[in-house]
Amino acid sequence: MQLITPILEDYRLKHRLRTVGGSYDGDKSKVIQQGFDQKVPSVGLPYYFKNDLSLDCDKVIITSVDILINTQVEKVDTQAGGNPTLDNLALDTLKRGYVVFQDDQQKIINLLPMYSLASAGNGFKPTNLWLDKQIWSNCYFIFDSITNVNSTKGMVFRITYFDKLIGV
Amino acid sequence: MDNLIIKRSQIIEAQITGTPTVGKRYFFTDIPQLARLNIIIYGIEAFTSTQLAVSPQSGNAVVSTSTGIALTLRDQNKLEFAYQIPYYTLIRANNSGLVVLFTPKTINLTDCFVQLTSTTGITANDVACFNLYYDFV
Repeated sequence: MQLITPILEDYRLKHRLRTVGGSYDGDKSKVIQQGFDQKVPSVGLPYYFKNDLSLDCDKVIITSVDILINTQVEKVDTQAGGNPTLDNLALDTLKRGYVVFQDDQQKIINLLPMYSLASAGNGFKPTNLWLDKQIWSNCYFIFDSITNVNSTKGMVFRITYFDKLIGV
Repeated sequence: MDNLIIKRSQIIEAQITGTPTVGKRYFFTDIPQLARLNIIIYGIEAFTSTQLAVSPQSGNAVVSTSTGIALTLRDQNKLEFAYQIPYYTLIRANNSGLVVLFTPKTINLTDCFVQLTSTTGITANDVACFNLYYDFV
């Protein structure tokens, strides 16, 4: 234990490691609900997130993205305060998709399988991230099969993040 | 309890070419950017078709079983710093959601390989697929 402790401490300082107990980390949380009623994802075509300046790297560092599945959030509400009618995706459907985070030059920071981002499939531990270069509207998800992905479906992403301190 | 934070990641794969054979070494497809000396690897996650149906690199199907595969990783000096790690133990879902961490390493990906300890459930041209987690130094 004494041998590896300095490495763990170094990893903590460099944001490669975080002590977890199955909890989310971050000052703020936002839920993004993406309905496929207007546009169904096509196989192999990127489905970009809507522009959200509050999630860009000049303002925040994103510390986790959790894809919530139908056993956690049954219905997807794409209109705030509206009537949620779309069904959320099941865990098994996520094995056919990836989420791609890109920076301001559209260079890929991370390409992560959707299943990796679903805490429900990973011991209910959210995936820890340290995204500090992302432009949210450059990020997207993509499917290699749209079996069980149609106009009656949607997805729910829970984002946790904290504000960057200006001038620090 | 500690868990890895993903800073940057890269999907890598080793294809089971031809008839699956116990003991044969199946080397990884090269990703040149991972050979850069300013990159250190600090974590790895493996996938079966339960988590990832198809590799985003090649479009090939991901292996459906994890109990008959072992992973060996070599660094730039060809030192086998991780020798025959069971594939099963690298799957996050099998570790209560925890990702396997390394001490910081540079790797030579084309020297790294997987080996089969059993061919049951392994189909020719499937890929053993991983996500490597790395950082710049």
